This record gives sequence, structure tokens and C-alpha cells, in this order.
Amino acid sequence: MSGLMEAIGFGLASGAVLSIGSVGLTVQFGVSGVFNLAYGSLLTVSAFIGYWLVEQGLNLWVAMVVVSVATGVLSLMLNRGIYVPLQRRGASPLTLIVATLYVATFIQYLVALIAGDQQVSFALQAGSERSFIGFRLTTLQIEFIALAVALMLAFHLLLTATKLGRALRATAGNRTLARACGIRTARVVDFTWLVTGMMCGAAGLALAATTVAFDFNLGSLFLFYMVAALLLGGAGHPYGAMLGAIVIGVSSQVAAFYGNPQLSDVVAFGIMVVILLVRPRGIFSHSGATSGLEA
Amino acid sequence: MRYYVILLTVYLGIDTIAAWGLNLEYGVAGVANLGYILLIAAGGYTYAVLRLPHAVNLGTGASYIGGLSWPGWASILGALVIGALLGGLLGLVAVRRIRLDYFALVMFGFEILAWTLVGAFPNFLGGQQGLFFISDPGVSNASWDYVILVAVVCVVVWLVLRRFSGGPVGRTLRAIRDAPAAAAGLGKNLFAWRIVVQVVGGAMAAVSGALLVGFIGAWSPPAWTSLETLLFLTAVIVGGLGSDAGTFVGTAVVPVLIVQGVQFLPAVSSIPQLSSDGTMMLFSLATLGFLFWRSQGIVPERRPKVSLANVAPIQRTRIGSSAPSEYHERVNGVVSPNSSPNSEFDTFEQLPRRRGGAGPVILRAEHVIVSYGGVKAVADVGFEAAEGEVTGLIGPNGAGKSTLLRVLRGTQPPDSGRVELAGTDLTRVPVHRRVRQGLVGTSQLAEPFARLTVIENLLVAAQDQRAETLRGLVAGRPSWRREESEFVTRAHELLDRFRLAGKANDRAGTLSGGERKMLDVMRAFMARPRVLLMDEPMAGVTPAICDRIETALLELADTGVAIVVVEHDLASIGRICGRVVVMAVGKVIETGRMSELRASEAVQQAYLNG
Repeated sequence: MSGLMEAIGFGLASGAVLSIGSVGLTVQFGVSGVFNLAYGSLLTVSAFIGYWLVEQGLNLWVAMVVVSVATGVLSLMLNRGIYVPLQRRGASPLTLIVATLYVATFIQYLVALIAGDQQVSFALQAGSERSFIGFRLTTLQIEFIALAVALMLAFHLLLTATKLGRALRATAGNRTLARACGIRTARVVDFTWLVTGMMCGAAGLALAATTVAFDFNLGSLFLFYMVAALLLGGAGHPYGAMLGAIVIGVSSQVAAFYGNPQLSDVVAFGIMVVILLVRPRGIFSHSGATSGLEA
Repeated sequence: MRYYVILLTVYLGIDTIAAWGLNLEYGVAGVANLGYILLIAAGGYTYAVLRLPHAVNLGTGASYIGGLSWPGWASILGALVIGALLGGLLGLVAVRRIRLDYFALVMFGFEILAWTLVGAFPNFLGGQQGLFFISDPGVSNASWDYVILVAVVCVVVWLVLRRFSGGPVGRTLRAIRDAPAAAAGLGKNLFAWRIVVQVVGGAMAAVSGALLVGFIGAWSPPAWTSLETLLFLTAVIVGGLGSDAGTFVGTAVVPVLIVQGVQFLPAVSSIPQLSSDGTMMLFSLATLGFLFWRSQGIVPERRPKVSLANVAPIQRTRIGSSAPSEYHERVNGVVSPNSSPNSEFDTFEQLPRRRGGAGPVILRAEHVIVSYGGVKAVADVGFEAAEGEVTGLIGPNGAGKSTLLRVLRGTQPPDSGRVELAGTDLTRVPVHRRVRQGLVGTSQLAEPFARLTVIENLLVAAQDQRAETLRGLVAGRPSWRREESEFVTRAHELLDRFRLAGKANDRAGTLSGGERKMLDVMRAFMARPRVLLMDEPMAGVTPAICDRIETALLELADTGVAIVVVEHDLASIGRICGRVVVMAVGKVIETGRMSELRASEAVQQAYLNG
């Protein structure tokens, strides 16, 4: 029983990191209509930049700020430099997704070229283990859970209580109409790529700091957990992605507790497939809505 | 050296088969299958376990299901069957209702799931280390014989492709690729076609995988990763999406010359070997470059020139068994009373002119309610359209006209209410099946099948094509040549009528806005409607084109077709419509002739308030 609680606690910790990443991915898709497979590669980039900074003796949290900003700018450049021009040339959503796959591959192997194909790991003090109500988590894990909760709250406030958030939802719902209402949609999209890129950066560093070891494949595997969480919540639904991330995080850790560790991947993707069969638009979407952000 | 040449030639053949399959799925049918490698691997695995002796007899300690010691040819056929089944199954799971960019992702996810399963259940698939000592298929893999074997299979696959995606079926698939909604609006069953493509593509992938395993004698999961899918995708994009010849060229350049060829370079020269990281980066950059600056690839997709000169002369008999009924024939055969007088379709002139005299009601809707998030766009509306009459549907913006029309077409499910055609309930019938019953519509946006020619756009719209049936595919061109000639003749009559004959063989994507509108109308005519629903056919066109469309609509109505037109141009409505229905805020407020409605207080109020 205590083992099960530990697994659930671990699931919450990994779900927290996952939620930061998948909310970014789903919002990016909801607002700009680009399903960016290079998101995983950016996550790898942020993990390696963070690793390098911490190796130089920088404090983890300072490194996280630097990494987030850097990844955000990179993400913005990616959209401005490649995806927007492609869209302007009349590329279909399908062509775009294929293009993002190549961007992802390019970045992934660029990282491999620079950082090598060795596994690296953070020489961090994970902090003392604490246990409460049966959970046993390290200080670092608890801090990341707190970070995720703070980010999700901040994001919720952004969406509901600010003018920018309203513009964001309007753009996601109908870009042409939003533009006709005087919203500078190009700026809203820029802002989206910046912010979601920053979330990607934060998720990347948090993931790297809590895994045993990682290499240039880190993001491409994690991408599928994010995609699974996103599809679970319905593409474009930030709140759905949060919940999806928790569901995937916890269920895969519990599966790993009962079976072998490899089973956790099977469960994560198995859930995704079942959801797609039963509710292709995700569990938290209601039919008719094309994007969760508009509702 | 001889060994290298054999190796490269065999790889070229095997990779080409796989790339053709992916081109069929992505280039021709527009379904990006990012888990394609899964099907190749499945084919290889099937070949291995059918060809291998029973696990115990092999004595390597490997463990796997099967081990049937089948002959080589049977093992390859077995792989083909499994590939087709798996392709169809994955298609069923993933194409079902979800968007195509989702499909791409889901297939990617499937692939990860599959390799995880392989690792998690080592006894089932031989685990991560894979299977070894697999015999060749009875043809020595170190000799030119294997080259011949692969070449023969290539030729067979090529011939199958010629028949499948080279003919009218390829036209239909490309139409679905270019504008799915428009294709469904012309009676194409998108779901069924996409599954068929997944089945055929899966079979091709599996055969390629089987030939590869037969050649190298081993099957190992790590060799088949998503990077391999990426290579084939690169070959197809660089070679030319939708072009089989281009795909062959792309395969020769990308997976064979660069990936395989590069490995042998150091052996013959002093060029330093390109690292695999560098190779992947190079591919990605090159492909992105192609997507940006030459998205049609090295060898662009070509479309056949269709002209009246090369169609078979039409016999003066009834047009084959595909014509729905004598009545239908008589009613819809003709749109043009003035064009070629010797055409047998001009039976139209013998019909009495019925302008102004409407026939019986054929399309009826009752108590239709549609609400969008609490707002009732259509609030309990009834509607009727009679044979031989153009019925107008007008009203201020937001009145619910287009929504009602979409309910009639089947692109918008109503919250409640009923739609029936000639007494048959159609409320829950999908768009493509309504078209087959004679209920054809056009949408507000004229969506051409951009990469097909103008005349092909029309040919796609012909209903009951024998070439699209399994029998037609098996029997080949002779079985549908005459039918095709008839379609071409009819398409040319329409093109003459709309004065677009000069552009018959231009790509539809090059047409102007007005020409696209006409193409949309012509396609609908080509589908031989009993009821034609048009959403703003005159929007944004010049008066000259407007005139052509109006004349054509009137003449079609004279043959007994019921036409419903939603339109903002009231002058145009006045010229062509008998009965006109006025809607405002989701309700029908008046019905009558245009001349009467102009005097109506209620109608004026509605327009002023709207």
C-alpha cells in the first residue's frame, strides 16, 4: 500500500513537469494552428543549455529563468522564420506538420553533433526525501510540483483576467474575426510562441533535473507523453492538457509499480489510443468546439 | 565491387516499393502516415516467422511465434496479407473521424507503442535483439538472381499502381487530397477511400519489408525506427509528391545514393565519411528547402491531357448500366440546348418548357432547429423545393439561410427536425450518400481540386463510375472506357456552355475566382442532381459570368431539377426564382414571388433591422 502511494506521488511529480510542457504545446497549437513536433527538440535544447549552465556553477533557479527566456526566443524565431513563411506560401496543416518534423530532426541532430551522444546527468543535490501521507518525494520534486502549480495558476489568470488573455482566446477561436475586431493577431501569435517556448524551456530543465540521465533523445520521447496528454484533454484545451498530464503521469507510474518499468510507456500510449477510439476530440471537449481556448 | 552493385540495386528496388506505398498514402491520397515504417517492419517480421523453422529446431535460443518453414513465395504473400490487414486496421483506428494531422501524430504514437511492446514482450517478437538466420526466399541473395526477383516485383507493383492510382481512382484520391469537403460533396466516401489506400499502402510496405528481410536474413527492431520513415518521406517529397516516377528518382537519390552509397565512399576514395548526425541534418535542411522553394519536387506530378479527340466514339445506345433511370437520363442529360446539335444528350429540347410551372415537391424539411452555443440559428423552420423550379432563399446576414442549406446538404446535423427527399428520410444520412440519391450541393467557398486539371475536376464529379468499383479495377480500362468517353463528352459540353473549353487541361488551381465559381457549378451539374442546393453561386462574380450561371440554372430547372439558391443579389434572385423564401433571425417570415416580396412590409423591416 505504501508502495502504491509512493508511485502515485512519483506520478504527481512527473505529471507536474509534463503539465508544464503539454499546456505549452496545446496552447501553441490552439492559437497558431501549427502542430509543432519540434517542441520536443526545443525541450532537449533547453535541457542541455540548463545542464551546461548548472555545470558552470549557476544556481538551478537562475538557470531556469535564463533557459526559459532563451527557449522562448528560439521558439519565436522558429515560428517567424520557418512556419509563418510556409503558411504564407499556402502550406496545408499537413505539410506544416511534416515540416515541423524535419525541423525537429534537424535540431535534435544538431544537439547530438554539439553535445555528443553520451548520456549526461545533473550532479544536483536532490535534497532530502520527505514523506507525508505516504508520498515520498525529494525536495526538488516538491519544488517542481509547486512550480507547475504556480505556472498553471498564472496561466489561468492570464487567460481569464487580462486583456491579452482575451485576445489570445479570440485569436484561437477565429483569427480572421479577431483581426476584424481590432486585435493584432500577428502579435498575439508572437506572444504565444514566446510564452509557450518559455514553458517548454522550464519543462525541459525540470525534466532533465529529475531524470537519472539523458541524451539528445530526451525531448523526442517526452514529446509523445506531451502529445498523449494533449490528445487526452482535447487539442487546444489548456485545462484538458493539465488534467491529461496528471492522468498520464500517475497512471504510468502506477503501471510501472505493478508491472515492469517498460509497461509505463505502454500504459501512457495505450490510454491515448483508447481515448482516440472512444472520444476522438478528447475527454474534456464538447462536440462542436474546434478549439478549447475559445470556449 | 560486384557485391556493392548488387546491394545497391536491390536496395533501390526494395526502397522504391516502400516509397511508392508512402507516395500513394501521402502524395496521392494526402494522408501522412508517420508510422509507415511499422508496416514495413511488420512485413519483414511476418516473412521471418513464416519462413523460419520452428523456434526449437533453430537452436539459437531465440523465441518467437510461428516458425512454419513456409516456402519463400508463400512467406512474401503472407507478409502482403498481414501488411494489408494491419494497414487497414490502423487506418480504421486512426482515420476514423479524426483530423489528418492528428492521424499523422497518432501513427507516430503507434510506432513508439509498438517498439515498447516489442521490448516488453520478448517472447512474442523476439525482443530487441530480433530474429536471425532467416533463409532467403529461394533465390540466392548474393547473386544477380535477387536483383531480378526484386525487379520483377517492382514491375508488378508498378503495374498495380498504374491501374489503381493511375486511372480514375487516382483522380478521385487526388480530389480527396486537394479538397476533402468538396469531394465528399460530390459523393465520394472519404473514409472508405482512405481505408482502401491504407490497405494497399500497407501491403506494399509489407512486401518491401519481406524482400529486405529475405535479402539480409535478419529482422531487428532497432534498425526500423522513425528515422527510416523520415527517409522515405524525404524521398517522396524530394522526388515529387504524387508522382510515381518522381518517387523512384527520389528513392534513388535519398535512401540509396546518399544513405547507402555514402557508406561505401571511404572504401573507394579518401573523402571523410559524413557522420550520421550530419546526414540527418543535411536531409532535414534539404527537405525543408524543397518544401519552401520547390514543393512539387524534382519530377512534378503530371496529369493526363484529356480531349474529345482521343475518346472513343459513343454508340447511339443508352449510356451503359450506370445511368440511374430512364427518367434521370431524360431529365439530366442535357444542360445546353445550343451546343453540338448531333449530341445524343440533347433530348432536352423535346421536353416541354416548364418555367414558372413547378412540379411536385421533392425536397422537404420540417421543424429544423439548429443552435450554436445557445443561439438558435435556425428556429423550427420548414422548407420545400419543387421539381422544375428555382427556389430562392434570402434574408439579411445571420438569418440562418446558409445553416438551413447546410442541414439540407447534410454538412450540419440539425438539433432536431427532419429532412426528406422524395419521401425518403435523409436526416441522418451522410453527405456523400445524399449525393448518390441526387441531392447535390455547393458550398459558399468554391473549392477546386487545385492540382487536377479543369476537366478532371468535372470527371471526378460523375456518379456511379464503374472504374471506381472493384470489378472495374480488376477488369481494367476496357470495362470503363466507354463510360469514361461519355463523361468526357458531357464534361466538354459543360465547358463549352460556360466558355471554359480553352482551359480544359489547365490546373484548376490557376483559375480566377469567377472561373472557380463556374467550375463549382459545373461539377454539381456533372453529378446529375435531382435537387441542387447552391450557396451564393453569384457571389463575387462579374455580370457576364453571373449571366452564364443564371442561364444554366434556368435550363437545368427546365429539365425538372429542383434548385435552391441562397443569394444576396436580389436582382439575380428576381430573374431566376419562382418561389422565394425569406428568412430573418432563424425564422421564415414570408414566402412568395420576388415581385410580391418587394412590396412586403415585413420583408422590408427584416432587411432594415438586419
